[in-house]
Amino acid sequence: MTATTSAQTKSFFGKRFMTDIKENKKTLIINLMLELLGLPLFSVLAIIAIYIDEVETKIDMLDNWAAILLPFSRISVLTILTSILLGIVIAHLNFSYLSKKSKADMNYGLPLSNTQRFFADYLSGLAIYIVPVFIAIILSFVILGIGSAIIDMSVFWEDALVPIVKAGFIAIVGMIMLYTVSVFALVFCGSPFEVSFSHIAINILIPATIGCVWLAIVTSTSYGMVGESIFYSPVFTATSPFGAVVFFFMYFIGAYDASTIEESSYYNSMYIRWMIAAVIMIAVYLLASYLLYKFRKAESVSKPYVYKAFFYVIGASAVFCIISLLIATGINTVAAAIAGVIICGVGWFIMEVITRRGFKRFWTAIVGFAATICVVFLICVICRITDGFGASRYVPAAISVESVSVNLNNSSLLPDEIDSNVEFSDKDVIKAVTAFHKEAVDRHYNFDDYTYNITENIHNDSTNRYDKQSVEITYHTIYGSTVMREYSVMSSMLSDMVEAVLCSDEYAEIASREVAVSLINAASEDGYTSVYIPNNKKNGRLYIKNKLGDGVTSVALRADSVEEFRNAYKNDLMEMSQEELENGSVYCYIGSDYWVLDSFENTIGFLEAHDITLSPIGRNDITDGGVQVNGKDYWSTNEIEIISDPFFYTSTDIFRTREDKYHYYNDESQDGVAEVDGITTALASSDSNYYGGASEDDYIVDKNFVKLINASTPFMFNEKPIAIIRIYNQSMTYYIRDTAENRELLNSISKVPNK
Amino acid sequence: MIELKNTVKKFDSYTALNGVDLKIEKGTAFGLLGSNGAGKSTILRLLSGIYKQEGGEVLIDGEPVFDNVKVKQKVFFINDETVQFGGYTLNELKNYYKNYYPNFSEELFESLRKRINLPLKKKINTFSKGMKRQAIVIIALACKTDYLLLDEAFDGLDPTMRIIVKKMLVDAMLDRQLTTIISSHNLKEINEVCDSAALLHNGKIIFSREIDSMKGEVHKIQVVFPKKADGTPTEYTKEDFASTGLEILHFERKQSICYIIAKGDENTVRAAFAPKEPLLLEMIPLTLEEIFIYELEVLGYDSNNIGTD
Repeated sequence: MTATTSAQTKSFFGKRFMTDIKENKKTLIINLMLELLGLPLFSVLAIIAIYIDEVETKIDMLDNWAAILLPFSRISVLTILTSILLGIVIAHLNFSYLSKKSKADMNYGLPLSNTQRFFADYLSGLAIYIVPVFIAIILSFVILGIGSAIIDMSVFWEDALVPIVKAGFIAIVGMIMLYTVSVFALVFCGSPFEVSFSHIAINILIPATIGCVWLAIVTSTSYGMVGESIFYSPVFTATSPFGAVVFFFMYFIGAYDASTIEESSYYNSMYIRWMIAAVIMIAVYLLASYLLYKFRKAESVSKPYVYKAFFYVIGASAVFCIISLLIATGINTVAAAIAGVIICGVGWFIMEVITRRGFKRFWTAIVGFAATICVVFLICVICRITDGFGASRYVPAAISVESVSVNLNNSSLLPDEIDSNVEFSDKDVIKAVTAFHKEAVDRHYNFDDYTYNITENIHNDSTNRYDKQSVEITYHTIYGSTVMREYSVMSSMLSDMVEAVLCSDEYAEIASREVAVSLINAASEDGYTSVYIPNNKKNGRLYIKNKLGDGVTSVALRADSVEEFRNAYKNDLMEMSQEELENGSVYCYIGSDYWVLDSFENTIGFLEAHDITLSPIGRNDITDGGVQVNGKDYWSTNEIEIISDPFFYTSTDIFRTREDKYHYYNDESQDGVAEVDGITTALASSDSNYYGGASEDDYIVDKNFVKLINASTPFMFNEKPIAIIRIYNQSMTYYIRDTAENRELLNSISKVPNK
Repeated sequence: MIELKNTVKKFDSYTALNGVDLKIEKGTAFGLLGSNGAGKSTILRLLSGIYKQEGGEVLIDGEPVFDNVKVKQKVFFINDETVQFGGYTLNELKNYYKNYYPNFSEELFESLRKRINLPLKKKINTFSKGMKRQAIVIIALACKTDYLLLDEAFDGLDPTMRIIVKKMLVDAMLDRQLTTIISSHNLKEINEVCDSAALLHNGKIIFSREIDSMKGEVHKIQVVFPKKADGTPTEYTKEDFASTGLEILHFERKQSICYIIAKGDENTVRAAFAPKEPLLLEMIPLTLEEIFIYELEVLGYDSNNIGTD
């Protein structure tokens, strides 16, 4: 060779890359056209919608503008979907020589190494797939920028831009995953039919298998397991294109739901972690594809499966999914399993006939199927024996938990905005939550140390007259995993956990921030603001409610005062000692959820500086509704109820004594298993349907009743109340401590059972 | 130089090449002959780096071929199919290959194209089979590689075009010492173009040598022996001649006349027959096709045998 060697150092990778782009320029143009009809058209429609929304009140003829824009938005959505699916087609085109014999020589014979050829083909396909997306995004921003010059789009730029851009990146990562998984499916197959089949199979089976393994775990042990938690797991959402679609939509829904605390959304907090996990998974698929490609032989081009193991992996996954789904949804496990074996058997042999191109060595197919069935049943049996591979017994070590959120399901203990939405990373909170979790597990599995254990029957709501508190815990571990559990427990079990949450600096920070947001929203005429921005000062309005939850007064605050109030409330919460919390009495409420205790000097000082002083509850404060004592109506409605019978709210379904371990009974006459002992809270939404012969003669709102209300406390930790006060119209619960004075007060209005 | 050393190539359980040793000098026009499935195309794909051998070595200029960009740049392989080029125009196909072969000569391509008058802008799938062949051959020659591998190179070409294409190949061989390896069942073409050839059967090389010497070593002999004293014809058998040391590839007798295909130079053959005092001994050189048939017949690859199986 003469001059050839002089060119040895030239990059054939680059040449292959450019050649591929040139070869697929038609696909590139089609993709570009689809993308241009997608996001940019959507942007135009958004501008038109915002503009029409502004002038709608002035121009009647535009009433049905939404109907006019709808077909165009459908075009936009359709083209976006088509361009996403184009990833599969592009992968096919760029690697067509892997399944077309005529093209194999042409490509393998070129002066390229396997590595150069693979990465040039992969990256050129990716460029054809993704570059039009970026062009469409840039063009969309240009359109929106032009739109901003014409109409006011400040709401979009301030509130929607960040979630949309983030969602855009989720979509792009999802698309790259779809393309990479398509390449992966191509490299282990050698014929067009198997390539097409494997595309479908791999895209369905990766998420389906993960989902069905989870389903098997959940169905084998229902205690504490949360079925839908699979949608929160990166194992599901970051491992397949379908998972990415789930994450994309859940992110949007989460961003929409988190109207007051943007960063509270689980999907928001998981964004970076999901991105990292998804990129790692793409890298794994790419590396696997590369290795399979590198060790694949050119002569394998017409083989159905170049690596036969994938046929068995796909087949086994499909068999597992079908059988586990049938078992999970079937009433009779054995019948479901037999039906599953029959269905899978037929499918398996059809696929064997297709891939073997006939009945050659058919006995190996029978052996393969039998082995697969054995493995699948072995997994199911192990799952059952080990209570879902020990999942329901698993309690994360506090040290491994990065953050935790607690959902007490509308309990008055935590404000709605904070309940379940806030990620606590305080080590004391995490320790308290894991301790609670461990107790819940121990009471179920290692119940010897307890007087009662918790049954699995947590979803039985036939009666809600329980001292039952539903708790959902979500851990995010330092390893990026998410652990979700749901329990119904006696409220006394929650004491330490709730106390740790309320005394944490994080709670002080978040609660004070949310108070500031509620103040600003109360003053806003344009709607609400979703996020508190320290430097974005706004005026607010402070609404004060008394202990009964009735509005007392309100005062307008300038922006500086909003900030001042926020700091005052925050400092009080941060300075609040455990003792103050345990013995505190409610001074007032800010808005409807944020309590101010008597000990909150800074907050009360701020209120007094604004001429707001609250007196204890008096007779006149009880102006409407009625009073009920131990189920007996003393007035016309059930607005306020005092329950002092400790056996009134007990459970026979949720809790059971050690002696009654195998006996369920649901007869209220046999109550007495659980006690209202050390109550933290009770169901705020509980309605009373037990009437004890009320009459107008029983009507009583005397000074002792009012005293009792003033003596009640919103929290009780690890001690036994002698009564509960419920204020139904405000969903509030108070507790009455066991003191001589309280007993006397209670005796004067109702008979208290002896201890 | 091309070297195959004890090369083994397997397709799953089927052994396509079983310890092949072959050496092809630079500048040679080398023919690969063999029965169907003998391993000719496999050798070409090994030499072009498409296949990887399971055993032994495949070397070009002393370097292994597989996954070796530097070596693959020196080789252009034309396989026996043309369907893969259908979506391209000649111009596009030229540009496709031009990217990978730095010595590509536009001038040479244009001069060759004009010689055979191929349209530049028409899709190749509108070409006839012969035109498709011509298209890829002129691109291959324009790439100016050191080695050109052709699998059934002349398939589909009309007689005139065969002459033109052969001329193109010969010119390239003379101009720049192009090494050409041609695999074909058309032995006439191999005979005309190649100076050396190898015969393959069942994944093994039966022989490999210069075609002229090959022809000089195998003879068709027509020999007549005198009758016996009693007037009956002399009935010699194949073994009578084999015992003289001659390698008999084919033996046929009709009364006193024997038709024999035997290996060996002319003097050796004549010396072997001399003791039997033939009345007439006529030696005719064999064509390559006859050598092919008789060599394979010895190995059981016989039209009579195969047809009756």
